[in-house]
Amino acid sequence: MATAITKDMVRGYLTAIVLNVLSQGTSYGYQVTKDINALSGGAYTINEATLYTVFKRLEKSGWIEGYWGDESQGGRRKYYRITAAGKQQLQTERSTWQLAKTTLEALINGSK
Amino acid sequence: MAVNNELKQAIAQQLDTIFAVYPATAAFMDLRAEISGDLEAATSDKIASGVPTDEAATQAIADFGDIAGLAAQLAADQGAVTRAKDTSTDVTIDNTQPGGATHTINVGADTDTITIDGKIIGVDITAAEAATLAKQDTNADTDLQLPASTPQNELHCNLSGMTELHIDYDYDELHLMPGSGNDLEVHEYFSNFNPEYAGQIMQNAGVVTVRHGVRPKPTPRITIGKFKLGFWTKIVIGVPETFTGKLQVTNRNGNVAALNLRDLAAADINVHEGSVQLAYLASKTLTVNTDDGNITLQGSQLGPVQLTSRDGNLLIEQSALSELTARSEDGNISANNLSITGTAKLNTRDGNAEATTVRAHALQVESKDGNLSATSLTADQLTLSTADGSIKADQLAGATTLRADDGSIHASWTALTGDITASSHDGSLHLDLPRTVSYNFDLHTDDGSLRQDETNVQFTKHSTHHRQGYKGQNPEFTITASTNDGNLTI
Repeated sequence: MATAITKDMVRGYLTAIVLNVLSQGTSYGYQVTKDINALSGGAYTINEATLYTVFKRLEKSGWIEGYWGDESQGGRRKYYRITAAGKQQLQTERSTWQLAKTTLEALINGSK
Repeated sequence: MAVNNELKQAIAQQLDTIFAVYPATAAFMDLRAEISGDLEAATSDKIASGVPTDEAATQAIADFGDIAGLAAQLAADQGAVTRAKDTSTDVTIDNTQPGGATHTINVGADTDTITIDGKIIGVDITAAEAATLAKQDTNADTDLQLPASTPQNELHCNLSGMTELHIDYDYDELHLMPGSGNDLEVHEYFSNFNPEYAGQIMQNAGVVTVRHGVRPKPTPRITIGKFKLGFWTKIVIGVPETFTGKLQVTNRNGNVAALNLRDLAAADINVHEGSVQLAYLASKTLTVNTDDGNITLQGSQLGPVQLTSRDGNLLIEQSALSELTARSEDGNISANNLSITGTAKLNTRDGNAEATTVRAHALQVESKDGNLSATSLTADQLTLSTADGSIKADQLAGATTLRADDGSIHASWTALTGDITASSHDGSLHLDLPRTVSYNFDLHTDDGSLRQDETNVQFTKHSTHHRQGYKGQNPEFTITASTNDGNLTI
């Protein structure tokens, strides 16, 4: 039986994950946590407070931008969309992951 | 699906508790609005999936994660107030040392800083100003860093596995703040340095002790305006965020400032002569003791808190605590914007006590010689008492006991949620209740006059000095008021 995904395993890839989700459409915090959970097939749930810190970091790097939308019920909701720089960063993250994936595969499953 | 107003209220209430301790600036309001929107969406989903309405909001909030931590991080990022530099009254001294080296010392009159050869060596700076200084490093990320100037002595120590951190100083300016790594960092700055002044770190059985080095015989420390001349030190200690043990600080003659230390199991600060300024602390318990110095505590989330000063004033504000005991002999006590889950006791002998917007389970404010003034106190049990002073309390809510031996009592309530007992020897009593509320009453005065709102009142006893009865329909609570020499007005 496969072991569970731990937060440690995913930590280094949160940038890639969030950029991936936002590249598929503008969204807001709670919705992003739902999408991440769905993408992982239920194996991984991101803590929303953690997601907020990721948003803050990505926004500071200029990879996503936040803006306030009008909610029909009167409150305001904060949305995030990926920027052009963010799309480029996502490409970089995907390449890095490819490399990690191939290297680790060889290290763990390869024979000498 | 829309979240109904009741649920919005429930969410707002919980967020209130967390955000009450922070200033209502745009940054905090934005964070709160963002969290609120996400929580409403999550609550809405939960209800749609069958979670009972009265549990949905609570579950959504629990699922969210550490909201208080997010607010605290924002507080740390916001840092300090920046001040415009006024260099017009700066003093520059060219100090030539034996051997010919010349140092230029600039004393900034407005900014409370001293620079030597252009490097800032701050004196008399508050913890918040240290945070601003730290941000002058252009490569700084949002984490607080230690000041950019060069200390004469630097110590490091890994604290993993350590349960206690003891900071032991004598005649120093202590600043504690979060460090930028996993190690404890101690930076010592001296007005003039001698290797024997350097402090040391010792480790023994899970306890790490930072102890001061030799200090010269106390030279006159002259303060001109805002500046200290003579032998002075500044000790800046970066406590790693991963340290979750007990912090003990001792500083005999000098101020202690601690900013944004979170996750501590306990904090214990002892100062003989110096002020203690604490902001944005999160610790399971806090004890502060000063003989001669003010204690200020703000923006913190703590368990039981005990603040004691002999001569100093106590100021506690914008914090959430489980218990509070604040005691001063000669100083004033001021408590504002506090949320206390248990019992709060404010006690001063000679000073005045003032409390505004405090919510507690039980709240006791006592002064022997001073006056008590209070606005907007809510508790299951409220007790305000003074021997020689007067009591002025507005917008109270809760079962209340008011006692002034020699002074007058002037109090008003926003709601009647418990019995009220008010007594004074020589002073007059003036109690204001909401017009439409019902209550039993028992009013007594020896020499004074009795005056009350008699609409809807039924008397069971009505004499010049004693009246009993009830007002309104089905009164639940009783107001008992008595004074010897004063007048009584309800």
